[in-house]
Amino acid sequence: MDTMIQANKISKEYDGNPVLTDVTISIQKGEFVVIMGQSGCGKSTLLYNMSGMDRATSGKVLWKGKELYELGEKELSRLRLSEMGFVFQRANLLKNLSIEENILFPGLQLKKMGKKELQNRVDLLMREMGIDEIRKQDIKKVSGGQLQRAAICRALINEPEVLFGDEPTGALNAGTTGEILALLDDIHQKGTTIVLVTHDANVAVRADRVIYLADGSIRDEMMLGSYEKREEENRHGKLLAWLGEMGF
Amino acid sequence: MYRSLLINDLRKNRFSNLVVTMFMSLAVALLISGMVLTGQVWSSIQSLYEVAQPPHFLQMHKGEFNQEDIDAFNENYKGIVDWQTVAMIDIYGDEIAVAGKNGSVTLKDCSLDIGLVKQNPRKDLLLNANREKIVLSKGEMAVPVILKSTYGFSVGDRVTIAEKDRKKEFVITDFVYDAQMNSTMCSSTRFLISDADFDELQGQIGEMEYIIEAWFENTDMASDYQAAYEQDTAQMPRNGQAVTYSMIFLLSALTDLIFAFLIFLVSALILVIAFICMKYTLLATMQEDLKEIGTMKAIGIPHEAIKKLYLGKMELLLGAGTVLGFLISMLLSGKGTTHMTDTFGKQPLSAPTILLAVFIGVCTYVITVAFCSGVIGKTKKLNVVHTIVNGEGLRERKYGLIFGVMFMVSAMITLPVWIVHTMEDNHFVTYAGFPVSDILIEVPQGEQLEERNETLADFLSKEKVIYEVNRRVRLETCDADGKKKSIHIDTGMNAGAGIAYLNGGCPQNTDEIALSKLQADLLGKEVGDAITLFAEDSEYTFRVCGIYQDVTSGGYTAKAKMDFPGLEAENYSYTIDIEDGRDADAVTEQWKGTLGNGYTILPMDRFVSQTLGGVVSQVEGVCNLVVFIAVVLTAMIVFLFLRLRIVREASQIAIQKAMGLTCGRIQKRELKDLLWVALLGVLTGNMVTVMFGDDVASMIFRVLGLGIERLKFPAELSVRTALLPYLPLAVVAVVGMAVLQKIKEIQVIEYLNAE
Repeated sequence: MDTMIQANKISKEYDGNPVLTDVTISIQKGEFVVIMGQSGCGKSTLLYNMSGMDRATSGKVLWKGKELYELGEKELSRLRLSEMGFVFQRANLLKNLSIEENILFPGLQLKKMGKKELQNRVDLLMREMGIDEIRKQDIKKVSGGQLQRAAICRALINEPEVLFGDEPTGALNAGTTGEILALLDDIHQKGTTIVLVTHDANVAVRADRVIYLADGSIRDEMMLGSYEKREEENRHGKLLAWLGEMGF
Repeated sequence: MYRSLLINDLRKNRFSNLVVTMFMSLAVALLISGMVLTGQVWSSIQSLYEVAQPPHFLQMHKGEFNQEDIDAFNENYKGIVDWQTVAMIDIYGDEIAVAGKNGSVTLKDCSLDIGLVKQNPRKDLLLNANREKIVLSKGEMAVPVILKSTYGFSVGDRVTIAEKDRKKEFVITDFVYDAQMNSTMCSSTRFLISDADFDELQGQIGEMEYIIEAWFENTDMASDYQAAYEQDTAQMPRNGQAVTYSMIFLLSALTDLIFAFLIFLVSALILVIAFICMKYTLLATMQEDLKEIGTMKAIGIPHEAIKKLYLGKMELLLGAGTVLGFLISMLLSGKGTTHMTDTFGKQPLSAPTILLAVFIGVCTYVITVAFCSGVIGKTKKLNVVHTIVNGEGLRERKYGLIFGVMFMVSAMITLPVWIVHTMEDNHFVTYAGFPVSDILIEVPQGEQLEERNETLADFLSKEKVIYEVNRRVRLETCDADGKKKSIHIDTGMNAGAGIAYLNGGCPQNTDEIALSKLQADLLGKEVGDAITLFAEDSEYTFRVCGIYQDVTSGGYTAKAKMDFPGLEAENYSYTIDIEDGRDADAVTEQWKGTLGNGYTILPMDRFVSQTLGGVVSQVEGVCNLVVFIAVVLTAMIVFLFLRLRIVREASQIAIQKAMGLTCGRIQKRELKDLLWVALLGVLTGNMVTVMFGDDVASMIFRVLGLGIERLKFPAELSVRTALLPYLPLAVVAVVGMAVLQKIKEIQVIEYLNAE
């Protein structure tokens, strides 16, 4: 497998306080990786530093072999826009745009596709995510789950190679979480690399690999292999047992 | 995409968008109005001068003279293109009675010297409002337009001139736009009558005075001509005031230029307030969208695209405001120019003026958009992680806007209010070259000068008064370039005492002289310098002991203790203190009756207001406009601020309500906080302006070249200066109370269950 991201001994400090210490991690193409850990352990920080949204205090991150921190702000932005997708706990859509326009916005900025092609992609994504009916809706008038689906569409509009998620189901109820996870599974099946940060074992159970972070360092990782619905209960048991060992 | 973003924003944030547009239109309207006024004054004077052709140099003279001497001198002077001598019949104000619809008035309290003239053939023409040469028939009269509003003159009014047993009646048929004497700051004014009437009255009434006028290839040649004229051995007629083109121009434009200057000042302040307001609106909007902005940055949306989202709206609003402001200024252009129209005649908006207005509008737009772009540019520095995770970002100071605006508004009111207060204060006379006193009597130049002066001195010696007398004489001295110049010196025992000095003080010894600021500049003298004065065969060396401020006689005067015996007096002026408790107006009226014609008797405050009449009323007009604008601005900003604040703090307010705080208590606390900050802003703005405002006022006067370099605000407060700067506080309280009622509409359940 090709290595998509290689983080070597990255450390991050905020106002002199260490948040990450000498973390080395690699993400392979097509992999679904989940990062877990207690609150404040540095998992979101690791995600942001791996994706180039933030710069580590020391160490380096290679994106497909290219040194990420050597890129300027503009190049980094361009890279995130064209090759990465992001989903956060809240959708954070622009309130003066409709659902459809919010999804279109990054596509229009990248200009990788023509307008018609882009529109076709929006239509496809919205259909797949089940939000086709609300495309013209004001974002204040739709549910949290629908907003998060729209945020995923927005993240996928430019056909990213890696989708990063920071607690993407953190603000959703169990039913909606299940629906979103099914969508992420689907995206993963189509070949997109996914890196998620979560507290939720129900989310982690879908991953190929789970990394456990404690006090800014990787304590351990667990290989779960490809997700199969019928094996879910078994995977869940193994995962919980391992998490128990980790003190989660 | 951007269009729908814009439409949705405009629909959802109508009020704040409206406020931004209104601010912009107000600022643009005022800036353009100020510019239009300046341009109009300039082009009005230019086009009036083009037709009227006022002289480049003029010399007033009373008494005998030989025209052949003048002709001989001028024929030999290189660069002169034309000359003429205008005869004027000087009459006293109380000899003119005007009867019209509003009853009958006399011009006895007019401080200007009144002269009857006939129309000139080629140059120095007296024009009507349409800039046409006025032609009158027998029995008709055209009166100076600058006196029209003061005395309520109308066409058709009957004018009676009565002197001793002679009486002559006229009908007002037109108003004179006099390029040469169109300001109340000039010392004379001309009434036009027909040639036939002039010939009939000449030598029969009044006293003849002459205006010796000259035109050159270039107006700059006037001062050299003046020097040559005064040094001519033939003793050219020159016992009155000599005036050059630049002085005529300055005096003409002064009132309107001060008005325009203050309009500019106010519009600049409004622009600053508009900037503060726009910054606040933008920061508030972006703060609300902080997580969205963070997310956009995170997913790689370029900074320019994020900027465009916010700037696009501002560009539209500011563009609309600019166009609206332009239209308003065009509609208002007739209003601010009333004084100018009254003084210089009708002046249609010229194409260059409109182009300049468009240019100013465009510049203001570009600057404002650049400012907004800078504010929005702050998003570039936002840390994505901090923004998304912690919601940290652009938080501005809670009450910074209110403090800033109240400071500005207070300063905006305080400055013109104090300038008016200073100009109305009885100490202002000290800037006019006179000490503080109750009554001023001037014995003007004329054949009976000494006789009248003796009568007056005799009269005053019997009254219970304290007075100082100054005798004005003319000598010669050399200017900074070594050219000989006339110098008018007021002499007397206490000459120069009690007036406003920039440096040094009044003469203590007979070999000391104090110079007015403009005179000192002209002669290149400073305190301590020696100055040589020439009088016929004598030569005197003086030491400059002080430099004072003076707006009279064009600002060129001097004061000395030495009385220069043997020199003929030009005039006498008496500054008189009457007994406490006596009314200066009543005493003035009584003395006028007793002394009769030949004296200008005025209570000192009226002398100042007449001398600077136009200026004071223009500044008062600006002052009223400023107070009105300040009140509207305050109301708008407080409304905007509190509306946004209530929206943003709604969840906090909901929590407080849930905890059991009543709406009334929350409202009171909010209002109290708001009023404290507003009070602090107003107090600071007021204090800073009172402390440093006289420096700004001094700068205005200095720029205008009036002869006042340093103005000091009076120590005493007036009702206006004490109360008006605090008026916005009342507005804050009223608007605050009204807007805070919105707190009642906040539903606890709505916010506590929200994400």
